[in-house]
Amino acid sequence: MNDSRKEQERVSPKARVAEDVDREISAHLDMCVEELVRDGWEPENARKEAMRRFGNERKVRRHCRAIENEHLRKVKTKRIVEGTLQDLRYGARAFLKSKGFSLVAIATLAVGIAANATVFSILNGVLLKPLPYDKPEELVWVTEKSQTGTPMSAAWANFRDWRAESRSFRGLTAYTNYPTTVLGGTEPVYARVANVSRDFWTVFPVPPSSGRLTLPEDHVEGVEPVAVVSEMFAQRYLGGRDALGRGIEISGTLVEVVGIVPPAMNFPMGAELWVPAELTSKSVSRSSHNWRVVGRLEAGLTPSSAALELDPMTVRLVASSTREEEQRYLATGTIITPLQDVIVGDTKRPLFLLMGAAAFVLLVACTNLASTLLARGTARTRELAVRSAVGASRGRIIRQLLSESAFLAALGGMAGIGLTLVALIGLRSVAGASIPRMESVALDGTVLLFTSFVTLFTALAFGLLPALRTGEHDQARVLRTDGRGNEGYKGRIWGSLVMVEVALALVLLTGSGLLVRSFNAVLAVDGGFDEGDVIVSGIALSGIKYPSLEDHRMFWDGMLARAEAIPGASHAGLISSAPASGSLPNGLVHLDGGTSRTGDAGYIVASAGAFSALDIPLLRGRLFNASDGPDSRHVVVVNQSFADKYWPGENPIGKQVSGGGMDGYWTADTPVFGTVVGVVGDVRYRSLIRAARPTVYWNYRQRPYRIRRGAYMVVEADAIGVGGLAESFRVTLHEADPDVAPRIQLLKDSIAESLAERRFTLMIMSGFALTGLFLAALGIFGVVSYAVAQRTREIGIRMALGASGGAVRGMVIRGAMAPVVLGLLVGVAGAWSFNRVIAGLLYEVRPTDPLTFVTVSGVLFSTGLAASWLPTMRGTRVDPMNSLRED
Amino acid sequence: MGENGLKILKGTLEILILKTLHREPNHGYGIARWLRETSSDEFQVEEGALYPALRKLEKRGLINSAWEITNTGREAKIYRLTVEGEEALDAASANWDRYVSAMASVMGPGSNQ
Repeated sequence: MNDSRKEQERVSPKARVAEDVDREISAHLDMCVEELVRDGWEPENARKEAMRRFGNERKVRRHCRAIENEHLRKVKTKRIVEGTLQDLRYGARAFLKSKGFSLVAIATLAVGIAANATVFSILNGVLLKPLPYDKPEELVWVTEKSQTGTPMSAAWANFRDWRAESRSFRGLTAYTNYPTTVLGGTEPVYARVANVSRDFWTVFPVPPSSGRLTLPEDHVEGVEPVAVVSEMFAQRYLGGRDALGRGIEISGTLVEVVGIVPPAMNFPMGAELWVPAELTSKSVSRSSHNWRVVGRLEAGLTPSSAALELDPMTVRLVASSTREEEQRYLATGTIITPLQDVIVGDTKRPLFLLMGAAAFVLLVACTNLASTLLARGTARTRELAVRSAVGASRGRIIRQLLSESAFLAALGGMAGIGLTLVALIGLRSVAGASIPRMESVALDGTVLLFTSFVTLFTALAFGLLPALRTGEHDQARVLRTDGRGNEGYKGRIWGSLVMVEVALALVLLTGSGLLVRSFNAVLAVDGGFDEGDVIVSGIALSGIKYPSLEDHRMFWDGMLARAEAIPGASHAGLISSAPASGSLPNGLVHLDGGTSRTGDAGYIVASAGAFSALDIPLLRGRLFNASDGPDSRHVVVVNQSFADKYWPGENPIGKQVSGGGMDGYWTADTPVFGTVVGVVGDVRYRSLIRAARPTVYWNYRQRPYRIRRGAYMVVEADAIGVGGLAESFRVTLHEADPDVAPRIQLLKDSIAESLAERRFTLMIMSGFALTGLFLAALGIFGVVSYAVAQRTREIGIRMALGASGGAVRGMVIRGAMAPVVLGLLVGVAGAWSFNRVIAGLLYEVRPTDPLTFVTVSGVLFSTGLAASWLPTMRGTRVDPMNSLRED
Repeated sequence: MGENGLKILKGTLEILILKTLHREPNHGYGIARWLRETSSDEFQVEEGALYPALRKLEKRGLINSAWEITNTGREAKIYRLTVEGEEALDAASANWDRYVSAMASVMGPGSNQ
């Protein structure tokens, strides 16, 4: 019986069913034949008759099997559901039995899961979610390739020819965007305006929320100018729906509002008004790179196939340009990139770094829980042995333990989602505008799905090892020995778990340590100016009120005098680029009063007060002064790099330099040079971490050409401080011209804004590192506490035999610290090999920075020491007799 | 069972099986034979069709089965009515009586004229 049962169990239930059906059918046929033969049939015919009466044997067989198998499935499902419910009941009961442990476990998990869910939400919103435009995969960024191979903006003439000749695009559009004063609304506004060419709305087919988009006939030179505005702009400044048909003034042009677009339209980023670019005639130069170009590919084409067409086209187009001064600025080809890659840009790398770090945090959390569960599993060995002795299979017990961890993980996952919501709210306010597409970051279905996977993984990761370990026990031995035994093996497992935890924490801490060092290095950069107590404000004048360059000069003369006179202001100046957070246009210059020698330089228009307000040191000669009027000889101030590069070892004062193609003072017939009157220190305009360019400063009173569209005013406070300066400045500006909308900021804040992305990465990474450190400390503490508790008896014996408390403590702590030290070594090796990942995000700090490694190892070592010291002290304070009596 | 034998109405095969087993436990072939004999070969049923019906009844708990040795010394799967099966048969019989009398009163004398 026993044998046949075993035999049966070896055969699959399905095969057993099939056999049963076959047997029954053949019995039926045999009985029928037997009877027919008794009735006098020939055996052969009897068989045929029996089969005829039976009908379609195969069909019957199939039908019977299907019924049986269906039944088997139902039974199985029912058993699984019942088992799971039972597991969950066990899980909940285990949870209630040790609330303290469970809450710590859930909190640990919540942190680990939240770290992952948060970073993934950002990753998903910024990198993975498609752009909110129709068929975003067709959108590409088209740039010219500079002579060093880097992408650069396109020249209008090249764009025009691409558009006419290329067959790769359904639409190709050029645009520029700049902040300027918009008048005609409820108040003057300093807003971002995009000048867009004809195909813009073909490339971005956004249905207007009211009115219409601009049509091809609006994109013609000389027609009545029209504009499309954002919903928010219409709401705030143009009376909502009444905006349609309203006339506004944008940098000197009267424009009629014809359409309003919904907030989903956020291209170029931050633009609030879209105006046709074709209203004025365009430069025919192939070297003035002022236009950004976006295209919508024909269906089925890829960026690289489009590049195959445009790259040689560009080479052919620029070959027609023969002007000598253009040569070094001509394109060498075309680069085409998916638009999303460009928008996301530099955010990609830090986000992937953070995702990796989040995974590490989760691993630390899992390791932590695994060791705690293992400790609990040992405490429960007896319970499980009993359960196994009364008939629970090993698989069943493992399943029970796993479902307990799944129960914990599920609760941890839910708490983690709560934490993620909080974290996202906090991060959104920190990130501000520095992270592109932050607005599409949300806790959506994708994130929830991801979180569920992470939770599932977590349950397996921290539950499996303890479950397998526990299931392994020889029940009889466990019951006999009262649950003790095999200490050495357990010690090794715990040792490796602690080691793993420490190693992971070290990698996290090193990463964040490097970012901190790098951030400090950026903050410590000497940008060549002093941002202390300085306010900066972008200012753009109305082109209607100030039609001529002379008008601009006069406004600024007056405004600068007023600003200098503000009580509390020590210096005020005008400058066309804001330090550290702006851009610095550059172009060709001619040297030494002729056309034979040329160079490249940044081009800035400034007043003398700007140098004083920003504390840019004058190294030689003088700044602009009252004698440098519009009609006198044009003078320039150059920076140190310019002097060193073009006149090394010579006195630059008195030398000649031209503005090249950057302003209206350079034509082949009447070249107007500027004479160098002073040399100032280098200033980093583009960003704190990009070295200063050779730069020429022109006097706004002589060459206001480049500030027609707007400039910055910088005002330095006197000793009293920057407190009320912004308000007095606003009032003063309003007195000078009520139609100018300033955007006043502390220069310090505007620089901080330029570092926001770095700070964002740093903050998250540091949060992760601290979490990792804390979890590792918790893990070491837990394991050592448990080990000490297990060894109470041994410690008692040793102390009874005369070992001093100190000696015993030393022994325990040495035992506890061994895996910590091993973990440090493994972690250092790990962090070393992760270097490449983080290197690109560092500024002036090598990824192998010894200081960081030493500090971080020290911190972890002392944390480990403290975490094992506390329980050791507690454990060795026992009375030896008590601990021996305990059993 | 000829060309013009009766087709068994849907659902009635199960009642017939229950009724047969109510008389005595039996194997599939025995049930088929008894049905044939008592209906004087009127019911046109392929014997094989009994088996899916039997298995369905078993899953519903109305009958159960076991392999046994028959009087003729042959192994066969014998089906028995369970308590639930008895009840189901009672209910089905009552229902059937009502159905037949209702049908009869509609189709009865006069309906052919």
